[in-house]
Order: sequence, then structure tokens, then C-alpha cells
Amino acid sequence: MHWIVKLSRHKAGSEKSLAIEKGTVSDEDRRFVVAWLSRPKHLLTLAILATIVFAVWHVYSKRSEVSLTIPVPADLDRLDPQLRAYLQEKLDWVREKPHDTNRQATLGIVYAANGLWERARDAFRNVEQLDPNQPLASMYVAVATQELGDLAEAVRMYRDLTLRFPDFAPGYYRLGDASLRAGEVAQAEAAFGRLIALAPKEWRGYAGLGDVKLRVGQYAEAAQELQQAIQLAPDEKMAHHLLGLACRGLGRKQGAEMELSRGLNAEHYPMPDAWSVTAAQHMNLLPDLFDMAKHYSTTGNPAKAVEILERALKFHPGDKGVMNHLAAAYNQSGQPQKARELLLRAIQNDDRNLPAYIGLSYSCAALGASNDAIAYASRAIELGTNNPQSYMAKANALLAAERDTEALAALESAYRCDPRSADIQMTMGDVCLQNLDRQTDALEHYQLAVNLNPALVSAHVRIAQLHIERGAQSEALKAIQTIRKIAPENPALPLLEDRVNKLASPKNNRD
Amino acid sequence: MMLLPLFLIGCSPSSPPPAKADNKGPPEFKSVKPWFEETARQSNLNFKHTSGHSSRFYIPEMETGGVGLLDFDNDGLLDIFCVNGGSLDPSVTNRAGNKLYHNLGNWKFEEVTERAAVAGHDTYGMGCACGDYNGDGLMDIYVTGLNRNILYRNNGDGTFSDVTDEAGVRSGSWGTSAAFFDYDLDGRLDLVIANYISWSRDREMDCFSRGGLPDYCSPMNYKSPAMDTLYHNRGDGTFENVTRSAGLDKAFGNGLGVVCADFNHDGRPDIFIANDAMPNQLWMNQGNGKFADEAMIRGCAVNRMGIAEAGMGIAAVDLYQHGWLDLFVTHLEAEGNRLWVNTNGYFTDLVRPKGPGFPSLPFTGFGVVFADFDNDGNLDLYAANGKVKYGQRDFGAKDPYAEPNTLLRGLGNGDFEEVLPGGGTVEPLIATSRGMAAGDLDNDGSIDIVVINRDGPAHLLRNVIGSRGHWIMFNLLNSKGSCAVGAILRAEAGGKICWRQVCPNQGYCSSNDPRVHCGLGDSQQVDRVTVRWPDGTQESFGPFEAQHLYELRERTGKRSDGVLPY
Repeated sequence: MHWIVKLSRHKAGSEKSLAIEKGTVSDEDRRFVVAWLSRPKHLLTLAILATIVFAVWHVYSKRSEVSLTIPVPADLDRLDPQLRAYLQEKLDWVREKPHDTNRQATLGIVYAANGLWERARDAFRNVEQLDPNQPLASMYVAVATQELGDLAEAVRMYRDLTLRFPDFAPGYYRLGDASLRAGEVAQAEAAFGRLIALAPKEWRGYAGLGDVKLRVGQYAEAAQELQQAIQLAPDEKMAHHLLGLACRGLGRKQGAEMELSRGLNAEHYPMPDAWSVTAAQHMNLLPDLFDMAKHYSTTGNPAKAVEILERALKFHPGDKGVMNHLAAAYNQSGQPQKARELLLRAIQNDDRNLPAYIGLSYSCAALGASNDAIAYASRAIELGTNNPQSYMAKANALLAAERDTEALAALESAYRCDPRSADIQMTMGDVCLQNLDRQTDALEHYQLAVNLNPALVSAHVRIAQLHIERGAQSEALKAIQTIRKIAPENPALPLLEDRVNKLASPKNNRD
Repeated sequence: MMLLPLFLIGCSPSSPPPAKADNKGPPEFKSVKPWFEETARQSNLNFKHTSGHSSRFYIPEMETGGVGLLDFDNDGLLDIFCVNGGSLDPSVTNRAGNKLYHNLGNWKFEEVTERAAVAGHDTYGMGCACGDYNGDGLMDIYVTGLNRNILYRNNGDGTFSDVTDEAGVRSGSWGTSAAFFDYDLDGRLDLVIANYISWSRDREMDCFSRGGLPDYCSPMNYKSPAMDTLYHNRGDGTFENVTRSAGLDKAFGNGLGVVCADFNHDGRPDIFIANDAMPNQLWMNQGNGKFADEAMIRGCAVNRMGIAEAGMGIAAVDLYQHGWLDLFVTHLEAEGNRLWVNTNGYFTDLVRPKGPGFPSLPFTGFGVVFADFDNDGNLDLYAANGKVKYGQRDFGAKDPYAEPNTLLRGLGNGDFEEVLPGGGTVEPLIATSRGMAAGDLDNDGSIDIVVINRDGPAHLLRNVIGSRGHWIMFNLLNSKGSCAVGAILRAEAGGKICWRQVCPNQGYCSSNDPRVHCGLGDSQQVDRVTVRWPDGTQESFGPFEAQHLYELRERTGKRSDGVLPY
């Protein structure tokens, strides 16, 4: 067998192009080739093509030389059925083309997304072998090493990574973050400095640098960096928390309290990269699926939540958790009938399934069956007297039945179970204001809500509204100032400012 | 695109999955001179903890196991009280119970549980706090458990009486760690209990470790954090539940650890509660019977990134020996144990390459103690480790949750280095360790250790460090002859200062030697000792020769108010 280059006129195109084909050569073709080759431009094209072909062949042959083991969890058969099925599918896909870097990288991310870090590291090492110029592969080998508990080795690997790939921003982020965890402040400072240079829009660079400044007691400098981070990412709780610490260091207690409350329940999200953004689609463990479904439900896409959980139910047909979460998603997606059917099945299996009674209460309330809704919530309270959710469900059912005073009492019980919940106070304020027309009580609840969470914008808005309605200009202005400070983009702000200005105008005073 | 907490290094709520097939086997260790010798069997300490685990994963099985060191018969030797889980299966009749071991001296113990009547077979035990609640000079035992705690009053004749109901301290919550302390400075020990979650068997859920294997749930799955409990000692043998009136109902958490001490030098003992996966609470004593949670503004509620971690055991330790108590809390693997350094009552999460938290990253820590094991004048650290979920690393034990414990040698100035093999024994002891307590069991001036291991035998670790420095110990007693809980001692020896507090109820579900111990290095004498008694008075004592245990009784020293900065 031999390979020749055949030039052919493409019928569709005006230009001649080069093609590779297995076959024989006619005299006409030979003449054409000689004529074509006599032109320098064509010769150059041919040389470039040959180089490309050689490079492709070289890479392919190198990859073929690489000895790869496809990593498989030793206890695959014992893993969660949904994850197992997904892993088997992905493993088959990788086995088809084990030298395909994309497939190995995907396998690594699949393992990582499901917490199987040993196997993830193996897969990322495979990618490293197949494509030594891929910085993400080396980075994720280090990430896996860190996840496996060897922080010192991970820091070393990140350092190597940044030396090999000096313009790779995520590498500096990881180096800075891991260095801070290891207490290596100077190294972190250098890494975050470089990250800012490479990715000036990335808030984590400034937050990292702010943290570095905090650690060396330079609170004013830290606050400056952290304000920069917050400007880039106003909702990042971690940056607010760090700013709170900087304010505390500067002796600004009020500012510190505000920022610390804005940073409450912070979570740590590493800097995204081309691989990490694909990870969510590979998550197959129930806790992650529940989180994902909750996220979709609360961000206006309950249909997606339903889809995820219906799939999970196929793999876990009797699982209480899946049924309860799916029912919640049904309720949120406007399918309370489906929720009720599912939950009735759930309590048939377990008549002490507390979350099922809560879910049933909500679905019945949505279906207009108020008495049932109240009864199910009461049963939930019986099962868990300390559970605020049960009382919240009862309040919801009572409100649906227009028994507002009782609903408020139920909310009070909920608050006793969860005395840190500003949201419950907020709801109590709303019931007082909108259902019971008790402005003074409403104001008290909103005040309590902001005492619990000084960053709760909706409560500040209500407080401002109420003060305006009561003609209390200075209190209204105080609330507006707070909103301006913590949520300058809040759409209610211009309206409130306008109303408070009118309140202050002489004309209004005359009125 | 939604952001999911992928690759949340150091903050993932679940532990990683098993990887047994690919583990490299137990790590090999170089033979070095051990610090401790495991002597449980030779010493007749035959306690074997039982969680009662069979097929379902009930979360209390993962948290149970504490130990108390107390000299219940006042013979001068510390005895050992081990708390057992038992069984959560109501059909089980012969449940394993707690055990009390009388110290006979010469590293021999005799089990006296039956005579003492402290087995507590009818409860599922978690931990204990030892203290003289009725001021009769005898150490009593408070045992925490699942939905029922027990107060054992020491009768002084080798027996105890269960006085829970008459004292009014049954609680009814799931108690974990507890501490006796005198919050209103009336000279009587009050009692605070960290409660975990509201749990019952029928509220158990099916959970999975990373990778999807059936496993124990996280407390966050239950969404039912518990309110802690505060009892005020009325002085007549009874207590009053003052949780709500004191303000402890203002914040809940999944409480596992508790320690009480004066963190802001206002002369009043405060309460720090370590919560599992929720912000910790620092209940600052307002002086009027009320407490206010100031953990967030004081900087010890969450880590420096604002993330709540899985707090388990606590050590209140003056790491820099400057008179301010820092907080060290044990955590899940990958989170790492955390040190909050106290500056004028405000805390900073301090991470340093040689700090005490760094070597803990691969382990899940529970019990913890700082003590000067080698008497060189620097505090060392022992942490009892054991997973709560299947993990990535397998240490060669049959128990998939087992890990080696950690021993760190203090180098001074907050620096530490790990002593290998892990835990300081000839061979690392691989177990799922929970509560631990430290104390001088043979009065030789060196601190020994007892560790409770889930579903395994307890470890009795005799301190065998050959080249120890000098030492001194003090038994601080109030004017009634009871242990002066809350007293603060400063010893000056050869230009070095040793700060200690009488704070035995700390760690995880455990109670330590109530006496205070200072390693003196080369110093053969302590020049002066100043004690701040719980009522605020200060007295000086000394000088003292090293290598002895001394009793310091309130109102027998030279009045020296104002010497200590309180």
C-alpha cells in the first residue's frame, strides 16, 4: 500500500485544493501535479501541509506510545446506582478512544465531580501524559492531590505549574489560594499579584490580596483590595466577610458587623476554568442533585429541577429524600397534584416521614384544600416539635384559609425554633402589614429582621416604606441610606428617594 | 451557568469516597523513640467501646465516646471513667455500659463499675464532665447521652447515686460535651451542655459518602440544630434550667464541643460552643445572668473565609503564654484543625506553616489536648482522629473510619513539628478515636493520655519520654476544698512564664486532670506563683522546688491583687 497526494478540482470551489487519497496516478494527473508544483506559492503550501501532516502523525504516534491505564474505582459495583450507570457509560466511551485527551479529561472531571479524587487524579495524569502542554491537566493533578490531603505537595505542584505556564491565570489563583491555606503569605501575595495582572476582572485576585494584607495586619490596605473585589463581584460573601474583618481591625465596629452579616454563610468557589464549568453536568450523587434541583427551583427553573429529580427517582424508586425533593419541585413548578400523589405514596411507606407531611401541606394549600393542608402541617409538628419548617407550613396553610392571626402565631412558633432566622421575622412583618393591617407590629418585626441580618435589603425597604407612610422622615432617610450603602442598585431605591423627598418638600408639608 | 461548589477544597461538607483497592497500604514509619506506650491491657483497662452499629447508619453511632479522669476516692491517683454508647436498637437488652476504673497505682486498674453503680445501661452515652457540683470535696460525674443525661453524685464511699431527676438535669436533648463552671461567681458550679441535633430513630435518613456508598449523614441533612442547655446551681443539690432566661435560646447549632473560660478578661467566665457545620457560638457573659453570642464579631464563629466548619473538640489554650486563652478546634479532614488567636478578647484565624493546624489536614479530629508532654517548657498537642464518613485514605485497619492520631511537639512561639510515628507510639495506633483526656496517672510529673475509640478498645498511653525536663504540678482548691474551676495560675521559673487555667472540662466529650502542670525545662525551681481565684482575688505563693505536686488553697497565699492583668 502506498499513499500519494492527489490534487483535484473541487466542483464546488473555484480554487484547487490538496487532498490525500489512496489510489493510482494517471498521466494527466502527473502533468497537472508537475505544473502545480512549479509554482513557488504551491510549493510553499505543500511544505506547510506536509509539516501539518507530520505534526499530526507525530502527536498521534507519541500518544499511541503512551501507556495508559483507564482508572476505574475498585468498588464500582457498590457505588450509587445512578453514579455507577453514568460511570460505566463514560468508561465505555473512554475505552473506545483511550488516547483521546478530551475523553480522559472528561473522565477526570466526572470522577472529581463525584468526589472520587484518587481516580480523578489518575485520569488527569493520563491527560498530562497525552498532552504535556495542557496546563489544566497539571493543575487538576495538583487539585486532586490537595483534595487528597497533601497540601504541601499541592503547593509545590502549583508553583511548578506557574513556572511552566507563566500566563495561565487559574494556576496563580490556585497557587495563591493553596499558599494561604498553608500560611505561606509571601508566596500568596506574589501569586495574587500576578493573577490581577493576568485577569484584572477576576475578583478573587483582589480578595486574595486583601486576605494577605489582613494577615499581616495592614487593615487599610486590605479594605482597599476587598472593596475592589466587591466592586467586581458585589454578591461574593467571602469578600464581604474579609472586609468585615478588615473593618474590625480598623476599629469600625458597625461597618464590621454589617459586612460580616453580608458575608454570612459564605461558600468557597474556586476560579472557574474551561473544565470546571462542565462539572455540574456530571454530578450524579443525590446530595448534589438535591442542591442542583434546589438551585434551579429558586432561580426560576423548577422544570429543570423536576427533570433532574425524576431521573434520580428512576434509580432510587423508594428513596424518601428523592420523593420529598421531587414533590417540592412539583409544588414549585405549579404541579401540586403530582406532588400530593407522590407524597401520599411516600407516607404510605413511612407514616412518620416528616418532610413528606410538610410537602403535603404545601401541595394541599396550593390545591385549595386548606383543611387538609392544616392537618398535614399539624402532623408534621407532632413529629418534630422543634422543626421551624413544620410551623412555616402551618402558617402557610392558615394564611390560605384566611386565618391570619393563627398564621402569625404559627410563625412565632417557627421563630422560637429558629431564633436566628431573619426571614421568619420578615414574613411575620408581612403578615402584620398586609393581612392584619398592623403597621406598628410589622415595623417591629422588620426591625428585628434587620437586627438579625443587617444586610437584609428587603426589610430595610419595608422599614423605609413604613416610615414614609407614617411621615417619619428622618427614620425613612436612615433606612434609605442603609439601602444605598448595601444595595445601591436596588430598584426600590429611586422610588423611595422620590417619596421621601416629597415628604420633605414644603408643598407636601403644606398639604 | 449555575455555580456549584465543585472542588471546594477544604470546605466540602462530605468526605471523599473509599479507595481501598488502590491504597498503598499502611504508611511505613521510621523507628524513633516513642513518647507513649500503650498499656491498656497490662493495666487491666479493658474498656471496649460499643456504638451498636449493625446495618443502618444511625448518626449517634458516629459521635459517641468520651472519658473522664477524676480522683473519685481522693486517694491522690486519677481514676478513669469511660463512656459507652451501647445500642440504639430497643430490642437489645444487654447493652454495653460505661465503666469506672479505680487506679491502684503502679499502672494497675481495677474495674469498679458495678459497685459504683455508674454503668448507665439504659442510656446511649456520649461523654462526661467531672466536677464537684455540691462542694463536698468529692468529684461527681455528669454523663451526656442521647435524650437523657445522668448526674452521678459521689457518695464518698466508692459508690455513686443517680440524682438526675432530683437535681433536675435530665435535659432531654442529645447532649454531647458538657462543662461545669461558675458563671455567676456564687461559688457553686453551674453546668452547660452542648446539644447536637433533635434526633430520633424514626428521623434517621439514608445518606451516602462521596462515591455513593451508604454512610452516615451530615448533621445538616436533618436541619434540626439543637439549643444548648444551661443549668444554674441553686446550691441545694438542685439546678434550674436557665437556658432561655440567660439568652442561650437566641442561637442554635449542632453543638459538639464546649469550653468555659474568661476570654475577654472581664472576670466572668464565657462559653464557647463548637458547632458541626454551623457557625460556632461565643456566649459572652454579661454579668447579669445573661449571655450574648458575639462569636461573629469576635472572630471565632467561622473560618477566615467566612465558612462554617465542622467543629468537634475544643482546646482553650494560651498558646503564646501571654495570659489570653486562644481557641483550637478540631475539624473534618481537608478543613484542618483551626487556631483562633486571642488578642484582647478578639480572635484571629491564624494559619502558619508551622502552626498546630497544618498537619491535621488529612485527618478528622475529635478529642484534643495541649500539654507539655516532654516537660521542655513548650506546650505540645495530641489530637484523637477518626473519620465520620468513608475517606480516600485507608490506613490498613479493618475499620474504614480509622486513622492514626496526631502528636505535635511544641517548639515555642506557636510553632510545632509532627512526632512520628503518628501519635508518638512505637507503632501508630489506628482507630476511630473520639474523646480523650490527659492527666498524670502515676504522679510522675509527666502527662499520660486515655483515648476512647469507637467500637474498639480504649488506649491507655503511658508517657515514657526518657529525656524529660523538670516539672511542677499544682492542685488548686477553693476555700471549701473543692477544685477551683476557673482559677488562673501564672508560674515564674528562670525567667520563663507558665500560664495555666483550671479548666478540666474541654476537648471532646471528656474531662481532663483538674490539676495544672507546667514543664520547666532546665529550671529546678519556680520562683513565684500567682493565682487569680474565680472570685477575682489574687494571691501569691512560692517559691517552690520542681519535681513536686503542690496543693494551693484559696486564702492561704499572700494577697496580691493586680499582679495579673485581670
